[in-house]
Amino acid sequence: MRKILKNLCGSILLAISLCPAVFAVPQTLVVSPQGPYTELSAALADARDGDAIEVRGGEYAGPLKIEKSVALIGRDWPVIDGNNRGGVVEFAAPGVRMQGFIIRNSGISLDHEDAGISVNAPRAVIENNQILHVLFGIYMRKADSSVVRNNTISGKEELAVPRRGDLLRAWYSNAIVIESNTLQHGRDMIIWFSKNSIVQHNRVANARYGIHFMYSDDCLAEYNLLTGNSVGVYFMYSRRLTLRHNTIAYNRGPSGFGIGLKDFDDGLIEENLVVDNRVGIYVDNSPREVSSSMSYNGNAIAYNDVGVSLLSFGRRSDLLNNSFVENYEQVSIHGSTESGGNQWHNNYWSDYAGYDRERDGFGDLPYKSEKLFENLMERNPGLRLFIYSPAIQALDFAARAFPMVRPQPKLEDPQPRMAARIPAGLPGMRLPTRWPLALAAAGLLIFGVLLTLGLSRKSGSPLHLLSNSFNTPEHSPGTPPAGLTQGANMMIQAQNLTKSFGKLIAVDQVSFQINPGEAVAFWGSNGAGKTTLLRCLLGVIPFQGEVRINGFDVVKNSKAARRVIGFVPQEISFHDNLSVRETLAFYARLKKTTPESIAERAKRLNLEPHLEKTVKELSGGMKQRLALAIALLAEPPLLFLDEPTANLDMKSRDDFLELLGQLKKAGKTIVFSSHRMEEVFSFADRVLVLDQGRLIADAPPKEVYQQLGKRTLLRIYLSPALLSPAREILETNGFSVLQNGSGLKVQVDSHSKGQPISLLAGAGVTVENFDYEIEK
Amino acid sequence: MKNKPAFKAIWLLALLLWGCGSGSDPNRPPQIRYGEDACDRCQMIINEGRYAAGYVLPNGQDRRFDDIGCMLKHHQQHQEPVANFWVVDYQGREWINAKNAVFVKSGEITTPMASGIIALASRDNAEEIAAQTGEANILTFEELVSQK
Amino acid sequence: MNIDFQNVLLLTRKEMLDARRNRWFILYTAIFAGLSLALSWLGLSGLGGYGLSGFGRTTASMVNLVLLIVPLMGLTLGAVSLAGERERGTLLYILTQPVSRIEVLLGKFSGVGLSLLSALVLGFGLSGFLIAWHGGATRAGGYLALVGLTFLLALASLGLGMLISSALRKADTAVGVSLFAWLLLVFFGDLGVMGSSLTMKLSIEHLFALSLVNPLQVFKLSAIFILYGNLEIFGPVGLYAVRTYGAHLLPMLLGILMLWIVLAFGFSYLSFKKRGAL
Repeated sequence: MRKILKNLCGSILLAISLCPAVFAVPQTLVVSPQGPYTELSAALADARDGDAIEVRGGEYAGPLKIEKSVALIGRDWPVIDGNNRGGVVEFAAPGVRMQGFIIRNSGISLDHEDAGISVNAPRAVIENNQILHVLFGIYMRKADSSVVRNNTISGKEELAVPRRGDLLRAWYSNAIVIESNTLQHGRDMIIWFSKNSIVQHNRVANARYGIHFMYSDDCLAEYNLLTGNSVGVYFMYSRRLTLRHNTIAYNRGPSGFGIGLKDFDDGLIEENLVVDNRVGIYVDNSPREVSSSMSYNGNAIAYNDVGVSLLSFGRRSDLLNNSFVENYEQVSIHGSTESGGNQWHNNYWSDYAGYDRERDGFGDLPYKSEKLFENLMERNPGLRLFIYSPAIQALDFAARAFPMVRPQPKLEDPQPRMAARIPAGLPGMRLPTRWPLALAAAGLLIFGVLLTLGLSRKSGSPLHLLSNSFNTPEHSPGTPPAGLTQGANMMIQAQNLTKSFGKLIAVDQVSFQINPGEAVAFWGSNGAGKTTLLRCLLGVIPFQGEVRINGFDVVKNSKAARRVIGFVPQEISFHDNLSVRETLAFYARLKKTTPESIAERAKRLNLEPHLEKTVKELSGGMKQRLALAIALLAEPPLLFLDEPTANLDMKSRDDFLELLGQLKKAGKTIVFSSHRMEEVFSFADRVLVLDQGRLIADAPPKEVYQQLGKRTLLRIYLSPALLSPAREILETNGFSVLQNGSGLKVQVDSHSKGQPISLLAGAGVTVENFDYEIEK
Repeated sequence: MKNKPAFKAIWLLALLLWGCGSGSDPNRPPQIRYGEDACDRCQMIINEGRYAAGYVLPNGQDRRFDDIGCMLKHHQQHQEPVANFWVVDYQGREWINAKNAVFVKSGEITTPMASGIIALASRDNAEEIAAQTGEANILTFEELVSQK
Repeated sequence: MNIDFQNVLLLTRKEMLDARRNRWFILYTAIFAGLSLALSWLGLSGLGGYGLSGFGRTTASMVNLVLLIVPLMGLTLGAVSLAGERERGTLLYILTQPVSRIEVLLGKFSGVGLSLLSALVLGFGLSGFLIAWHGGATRAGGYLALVGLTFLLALASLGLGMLISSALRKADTAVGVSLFAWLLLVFFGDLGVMGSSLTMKLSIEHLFALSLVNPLQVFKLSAIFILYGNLEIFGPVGLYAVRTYGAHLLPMLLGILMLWIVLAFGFSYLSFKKRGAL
């Protein structure tokens, strides 16, 4: 009997273990594409409260409503797909657990709040899931004591931000734990009307509000990493929240707060890292109640536009041991400037200018925030426009220098910390990738070096670098423009040419013509207007009247006109540091001539041995030759020379005149200015005599000579010691002599122009120089 | 002065820009760029048009809110002179003058700042929504203002 | 107007060669490189070791340095450019060659402009390395855009400097006038607008309009806009600008900056044409 009984008991036990459908013992149902269940919904229908459903891979269609207290355990990432319509999974029974699933593709209706997982019952556990491409991620309503842990929740990135939903929302759900989740591309993490909740070790990036507590007392948020959101953490209408050890960075945008506090009481904000937000900590009407206070302790607040912004504030807050590092504005106080009741102690201020003589780590002078511009900015926010303007630094400097304009300090820290104190062990930010910037910097450097050294290298002077672009055909001196009949065969035509400098009329109504092949001298005393006239003919200074060179109007077609001209100025100004070769090459390029012409000109003018010298090493005569070589580079039919021999000694002068003679023979039209009669008379075919800007004669030299010879003044330059003996010699020979500085002026007539010189030479007096001047 | 044209041009430019900047009609609804503008009371970004509200000052300046509750509180606090109050029709998503709107208030309605107030263009629509929602009151703007 | 760009290129190269030998230019290059290096060093040494450097913060404070120094470089180098050669007589000599005034002016402008660019890229390049080395979180694209913008500012101030230069004979006078222009643009202009804003209660719109008159402000607005994608740091005026002009804001700011360059160059040309080589 005992044995039978024993067998019966054994059978019953066996039956219990074999027949779970009969006895309510938890069991595990298996769903997989290979069975036993192939549909999740079928397994759910068969499951009882307390059962586990193990889902091994596979893809299952949503929506899925879980109305029993079961545990869904995913293996090999089974997928529940909402097919972009409505919600995907709903928990309608308490104590549902879901882990190891991919839940994806909710609908996009904000009205219906389409969510990856909707929790409408308490004690849910959602763990290790990937909730992807959803409008709302996890939406908890009246889900007390639920746990959301280690999930990745990602929103619909393609939707515009206003069209996105909250990745995590808790609504009237007390004592929940939200832990180690990663949220991105959504709107907010919202915890409303949910007391005693813990939010820790989560990462929220690129959302609107990293964490938003409202009407939720006694909560804790710690070790969260909140970056690139519009607001890192926002606490509103709550009390007794603790925020510590969070890293809150790069939260910018129209709100742009790292930490926002509004109507919030008895908060503890401790050892957070608040970096590079528009406003690090924004405080509005907190604490709001008379009996409450706020504590900010050991936070590092760095690189924000505004470190801490206090609105309608001014009471019962302790700010201790915080580090204010390089915020553009460390603290801004709006509304009330009265900061009484707030304790600023032992904070570090990167703009503190004091010292620490005892080396106790704290400054000996108080830190005072009293920048004039910040003060003005708080009175008139429009002035923020001038942030980063150097004028601000000038203003603040002035305010420091003149205490009269120094504003009342908005806060005072009696014992500021000397070194920043950065809380340790906080969630780390991803370090920025360095190589793009390093690459960009390298690119800039290479570009800069190429630009400075490569393109303007001395040895690579214009000639060398441009030698291959010398293929421009040499310009012909140019044919006169068509339609010009009158005087088209003239080399130069000047009509009523007038140039005045202010009241001084330098050239006055001058008209003349010059034929091709002629050698014409502009003769007159210094200041008669010769140089100005030449410059007008070249078209380099504005003037009235009309000038045509080879038929080209020198104003309207100045380049074509100048292409026919080679010009040798009186004062030769080259770029002193260029070599002769480089100088020639440069002008050869401007005149569009071939490099061969350089060698040829250099040879013709005996410049060959000097090609590698710099211009400043050349003598006056050599410079003159160089100028002539340049003038001749493009083989122009017309040469302008301004006082070509004025700066040359007698030997060089003779050589130079000989050269000119050859050029004249070669058929060049030569126009030169001179105040030396002998040059004019030996060389010119025609002389234009200028006096005070007017053209007073235009004739061959002989006629001019006869016309003007009687009224000529000879100037003789001598060494000072010889002045009086020379004067004596001349006066004894019947000349009237005037002494003028280091020279003598002798009145001569047309027959005896050379006589004083030969007289002096005969007497052994060395004449250094001489010239003639027309007497007025 | 040698370079008078330069100064003239700068002045013209300045005047041109000066002219562009000013003038705004106080009888138009406020302008809100969703997802970009922040609420003038709670500083939160105004995301959803259907809950938005705002008023325009006689000088044409806008005040923008993400929640009708924010508008009421802000106005209560600041007591500014207002040309017109505006709210967005919850269904049509169009601006309507608050005087012409019908409001539904319920703890069951989730608005951005949890005031539970939405605005509708007609009483029929308001009654329909109120019937679907628990503990809902139907109010006019005057009633809404005097309630607080 | 018939411009021979081979001539312009040639004159540009000559101008760059001259710039390399110009003591002032070398000094400016060294100062700019030194200060930008110092700035990135100081900006990063605070918390740089913690990997916490500001996102674009160092770059933004470069904007401040650029505003101070680059207009000074452009204005003074521009001021010396024509007046200096006029004083030495080389300007006259160049103009007697078959080149037109516009070619000479363009050659000078681009030569000095490119020399300035080389000074800028050297400075930005060196400090870019330093920022990258320290792990400073600055986007390469934004950084390069800032270099480009700075170049535009350099050209605008160079144009203004040349405008001053084109009307004056003495290099010393031109430098004096350009220094005054620098003070006006960098300090007195902003202080004046700030003062009138405080006393006359200027509206946001008018404050913004006035800021567009100063090319330095235009540079600053566009630089910050490029670095941050918004102008929030400038408070209500920045918000107003972005709200009112939206996507047109940046093109508008760049347009104004370029208009400054074109106008300054155009007026220098007119003034140069009127005054001639003397």
